[in-house]
Amino acid sequence: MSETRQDWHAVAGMSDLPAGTARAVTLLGEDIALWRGESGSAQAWRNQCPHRGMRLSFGQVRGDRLSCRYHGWQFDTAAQCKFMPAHRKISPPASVCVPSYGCRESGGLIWIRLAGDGDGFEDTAAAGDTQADALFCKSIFVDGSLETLADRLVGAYFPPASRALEAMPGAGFEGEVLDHGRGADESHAVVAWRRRGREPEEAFSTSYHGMRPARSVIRVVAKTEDEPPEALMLALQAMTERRTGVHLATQSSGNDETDRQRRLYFGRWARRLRWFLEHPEAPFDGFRPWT
Amino acid sequence: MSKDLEPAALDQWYVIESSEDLRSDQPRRTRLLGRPILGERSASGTVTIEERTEEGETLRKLPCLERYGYVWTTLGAPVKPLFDMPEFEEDGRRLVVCGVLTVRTSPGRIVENFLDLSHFPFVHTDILGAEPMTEVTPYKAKLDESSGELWVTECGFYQPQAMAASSGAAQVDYLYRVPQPYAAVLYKSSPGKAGAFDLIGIFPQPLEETLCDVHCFMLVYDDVSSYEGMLQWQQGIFLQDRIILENQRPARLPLDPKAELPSRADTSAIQYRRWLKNLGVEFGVA
Ligand code: FES
Ligand SMILES: [Fe+2]
Repeated sequence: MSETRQDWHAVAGMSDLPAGTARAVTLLGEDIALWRGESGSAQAWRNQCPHRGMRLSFGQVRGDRLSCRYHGWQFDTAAQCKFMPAHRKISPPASVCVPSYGCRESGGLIWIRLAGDGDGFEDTAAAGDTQADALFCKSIFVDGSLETLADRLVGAYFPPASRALEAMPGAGFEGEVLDHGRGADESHAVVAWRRRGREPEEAFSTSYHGMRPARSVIRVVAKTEDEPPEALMLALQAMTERRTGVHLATQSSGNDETDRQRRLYFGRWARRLRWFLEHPEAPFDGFRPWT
Repeated sequence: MSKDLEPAALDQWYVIESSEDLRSDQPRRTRLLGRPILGERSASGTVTIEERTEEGETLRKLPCLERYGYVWTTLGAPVKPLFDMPEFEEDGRRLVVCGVLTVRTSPGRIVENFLDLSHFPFVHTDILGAEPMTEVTPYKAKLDESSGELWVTECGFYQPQAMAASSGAAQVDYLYRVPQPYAAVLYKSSPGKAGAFDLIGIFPQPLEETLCDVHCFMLVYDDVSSYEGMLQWQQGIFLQDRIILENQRPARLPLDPKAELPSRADTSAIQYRRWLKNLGVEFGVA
């Protein structure tokens, strides 16, 4: 897994890390403290205080500093220790700091990389085109390696946001999947379907982005002529060899109530997705998103 | 197969159960330093302790002692008898056997946390400490060559509720005795008897390198608190420490002086780690 330490990985939804909070995430077997100061952006550090090894994710955010839960050492956003409460008048030497990781926020998600500096993010798929109007929906955590789950997702289909809304109970929507298959280069899947009373159409396609680790970001783009393209992004997080996070983001509608419904809908859908991913014997049909 | 253990770990005395909880109808099947142990009390009151195979067959009988309200044994051949605590002979003290708390970490992390002063305001907020009274004044930590014990002296700390019987905040004097690597006793100003010290002790029973049953007692001058009140006070403190202890990385105590960054307030920990290193302790350290 060593080369993937250079890659950017989604580890959480931006809205799952409110200002003033800290939490732990696991990436490639590494324990990481994720926190956000009152005013600032997300920070990703090694989850181990340099003093006595306490996990910093248990710390308390005080303004724009993270205060360790054990002895209250305070670290600023440059991961530098600024205050040791046991010695109130001494300013800590510059050598007292926490190893930190590159950390960016885009597409509704928080991305980090374990090796290399924070540069190069803009060139990756993670930066994406949904950046401006992204809507984070839900994270699910599934047993299985990233490779296994990505395999399972090949050929799967995902509902673009507007259809998801039509599919809300009582919306009078009904559809039928006619066929689905993989594109020739295995990098995308195509779903043919028919809306009630309409001709068959290619409704949307699933593409696996070329970023490393292979297939860790999956985009679904609606392909209908009468509507603007809509996207759903699934970003996979290799937590360990045996556990994977899947972070779902879609586009914001610009309307709070509609966004709330989208989030609700994809949240429910994500739970079905998890069931599907955890049951290799389940037929693909088993998770038609609009049922 | 149990791995070979170094004398520094083998030759210590370990508590495997409190005397009152080892009843004739209640044997204690447990582990010590990664090996299966069975402690039993006969109907006539005699205690026997044996080391067993993983399959439950007797391997050998182990030495056994009952003292300070606990049942003690060893897997090695201690050069010293079990350390003496003369305070147990003093009139007017109450012994509170606090029961066992299982903690997923190494015995060294547990003892070091027990010796630690600067965590009081953050872990035991408004009980053993409170911001902004966080300063740790200089104190002494020294290996006593004649007894081979580590002593930490001249400690003081401002405490809002120093003991169960405390009526308010006070500047409290502390000292610590570490009679063997994996046992520690603290002495702190008694609210119940002017000029005297109350004792609190911990005897970690290392089940595995990073898993311990911690036996804890208090020996105090306190005529006012109920037994339950004292127990609750102590257990509350220990549960606060457990959250810390189970979330330190690594779980084994690092003996390399460069592995973690101490400050002057950690003098006791620095001496403790150095002592363990010189003794050749390998069990539970990194
Ligand atoms: S372990 Fe973080 S301040 Fe001591
Ligand atoms: Fe404590």
